Amino acid sequence: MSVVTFTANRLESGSVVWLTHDLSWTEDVRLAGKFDDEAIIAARDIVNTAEQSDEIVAAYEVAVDTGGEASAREMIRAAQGPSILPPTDSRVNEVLPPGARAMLTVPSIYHYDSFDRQFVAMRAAQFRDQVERRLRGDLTEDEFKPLRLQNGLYLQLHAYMLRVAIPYGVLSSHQMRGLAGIARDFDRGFGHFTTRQNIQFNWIKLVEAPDILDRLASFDMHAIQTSGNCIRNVTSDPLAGAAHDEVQDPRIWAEIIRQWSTLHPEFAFLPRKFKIAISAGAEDRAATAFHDIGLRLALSRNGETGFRVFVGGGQGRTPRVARKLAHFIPARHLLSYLESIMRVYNAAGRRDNIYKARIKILVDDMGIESFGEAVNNEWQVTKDTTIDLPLSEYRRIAGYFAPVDLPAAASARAALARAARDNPAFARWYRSNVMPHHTQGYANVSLSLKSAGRPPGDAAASEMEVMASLAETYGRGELRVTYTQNIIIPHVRRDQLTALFEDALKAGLAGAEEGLISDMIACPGLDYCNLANARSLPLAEKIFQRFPDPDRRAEIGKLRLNISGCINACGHHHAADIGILGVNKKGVEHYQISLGGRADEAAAIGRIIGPSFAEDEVPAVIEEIVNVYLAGRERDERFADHLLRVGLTPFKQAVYGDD
Amino acid sequence: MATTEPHRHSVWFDLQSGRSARAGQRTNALEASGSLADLADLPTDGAGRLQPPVSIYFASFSDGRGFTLARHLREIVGYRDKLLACGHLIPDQADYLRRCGFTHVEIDRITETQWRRSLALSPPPMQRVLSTPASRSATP
Repeated sequence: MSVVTFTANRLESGSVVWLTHDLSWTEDVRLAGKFDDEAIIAARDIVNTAEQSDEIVAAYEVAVDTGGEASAREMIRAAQGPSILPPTDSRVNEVLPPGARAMLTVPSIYHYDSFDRQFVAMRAAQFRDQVERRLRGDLTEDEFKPLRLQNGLYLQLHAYMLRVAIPYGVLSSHQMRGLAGIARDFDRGFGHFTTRQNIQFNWIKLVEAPDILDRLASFDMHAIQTSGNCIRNVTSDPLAGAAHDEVQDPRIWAEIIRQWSTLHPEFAFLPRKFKIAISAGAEDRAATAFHDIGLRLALSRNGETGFRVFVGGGQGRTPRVARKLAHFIPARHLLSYLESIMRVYNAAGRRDNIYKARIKILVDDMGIESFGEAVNNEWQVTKDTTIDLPLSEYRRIAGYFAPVDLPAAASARAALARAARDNPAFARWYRSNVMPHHTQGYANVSLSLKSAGRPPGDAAASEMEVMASLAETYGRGELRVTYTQNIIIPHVRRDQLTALFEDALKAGLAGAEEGLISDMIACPGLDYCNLANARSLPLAEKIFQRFPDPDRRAEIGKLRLNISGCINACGHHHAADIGILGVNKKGVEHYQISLGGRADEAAAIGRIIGPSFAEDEVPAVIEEIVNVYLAGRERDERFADHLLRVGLTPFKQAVYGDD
Repeated sequence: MATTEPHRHSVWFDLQSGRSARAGQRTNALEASGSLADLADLPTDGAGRLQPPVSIYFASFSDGRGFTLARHLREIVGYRDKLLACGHLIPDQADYLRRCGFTHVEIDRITETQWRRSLALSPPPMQRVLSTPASRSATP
């Protein structure tokens, strides 16, 4: 005899509810009715009616195990919150008095003018209309879903989640304060910075989403195309315009792509989501190889700007490193070339199977040669039409990204050396979190969102405000979100690094973790996500605790460890030195480990080392792997190079034994 | 499919003017899932030009292939006459349809007000100087 409970989310609030014995909905799991064979039929009718009358959405049945052991997912739903504490908004925030150092310069980022402001205001009004129609029942959930997704609104485990676009990870301190306000006024005082350089809020009510979009529009932000089967937020190098090794500032082209792809009329209903990344540094800090389209800015022999175009990269259940589609596309033809790729994909990409709908599968099926031919055929039509921008419009956009005016700064070498000698914490931080800048006397500083007790990428509203203040005080009022879920302040004078460090330390944002084993990428996992099979956040915490000594973490050196809670790979586990994938093994969370992935110019997909582990086994396994590396590495040998040299075998032996 | 008859309660909503007219005409019908190769099945005039009006049928509003097919009709075939979207479409797609070269959409009469409202609520193209070639040929 089967026994089930019924659960769903309320349409208006997104909150989790259960069906009681007297056939009403409750938010108290203890009142959930258990229905057996005969009662199930009647209860299903009630559930269907409630769904049709738009009281609830996403209803499903849960089989009640007679042993009493609920699945991890149902336990987390019943707890109505994550199993790890998010950061707390202190509300009395500001280490630095706000506005005390009013911005002297306008940050060198794209600024909305009246046209752009009208655009986002209209978009917010349009979404308000869509939400009202959904609440009235004029739109079915199936029809509404792509509309809300294209405004970044998901239905998650406990509530709606809103993902706000941070274009190529660039925002002003003013916008960062605005995001803090949203976290405080509409959420639970925190936000989660994502691997697509965006931020998401976890406790959103559908009925409040239009007000949030209005608020976002008030400081020139929106949530357009942060989800859905469309072209997503374009990502780029978080050091763009401030890097020591770049050909040109790629943000100009990222912004051009953003404007072109936003509400593109032809590509709003693609077979599947579509991600574009662009980078211009000698080092690829935007993981372009793992994108549907990866663009690497390059100069031709006669100095013309253009792009190497890569296509069909991605993670998910079929990980692929992008293949080269074109060696050099002149920048003036970029949009028509992108449009041609999109057309081939939109027309020919598979729509019969969601798992085979990404462009990487189409490229697999057609072969890169035929795919390239199809793109070129389209390009004959689109090239030299008005799809490409006129020079005047290019200049208008490029003008916003004029090089920052940086006055000559004296060498701070002696003072920094002294500070490092006197303060080991500063020395560690300086070594890992201070990054080179194109101008002598300046640096780029990473504020780590990885620390004990903090879910990776989470920041409290008060912390966002501190970061905004730090950017105003020590930088140019500008911040960058990295795909590794940290925040960078570009353009910091080196002689102010010690002061910045002291202020960041007071705010708990001075962790020296950049690029280290502790600098984990982790998706929200089963603590929040509807798709996850396993939790990511508590495991990240346990791994962090396994390496409690900052000197040991520094000694291990650069080592990327990423955690995904399911095969969708939002935590980039395929592209990590050590990748961890959460799987569901007979209802219990297990974790599969892979080694040897990397996201840079030498992109590679990690290889699974063997059977999966229970959660409590994982930290020790990670330590075994680290120990094998430390025992065998030659002088500055990086993990990836070491693995290439010795292969998987020593790691497997250490983890699984000799047999 | 060569031609289709309109539904009883349907009207043709004009994506330029926001007004509707009775759906009285047969159309030369393409499937959104199809390609330009399907044009071979449609009747043409003596000069090999497609006979208007042409319609593209969407089995589901989320099947975006019909948008690319419309642009192919405009930009490769050079079809310049009435182009009708029919099947499962939602008012929120009105401006996307228009900008991809559709002139009309076949709708249920009772949804006409919402189609007009959704068209008016649509933001302009975010890229201010980009207008797809098709959107300029949308008015026949």
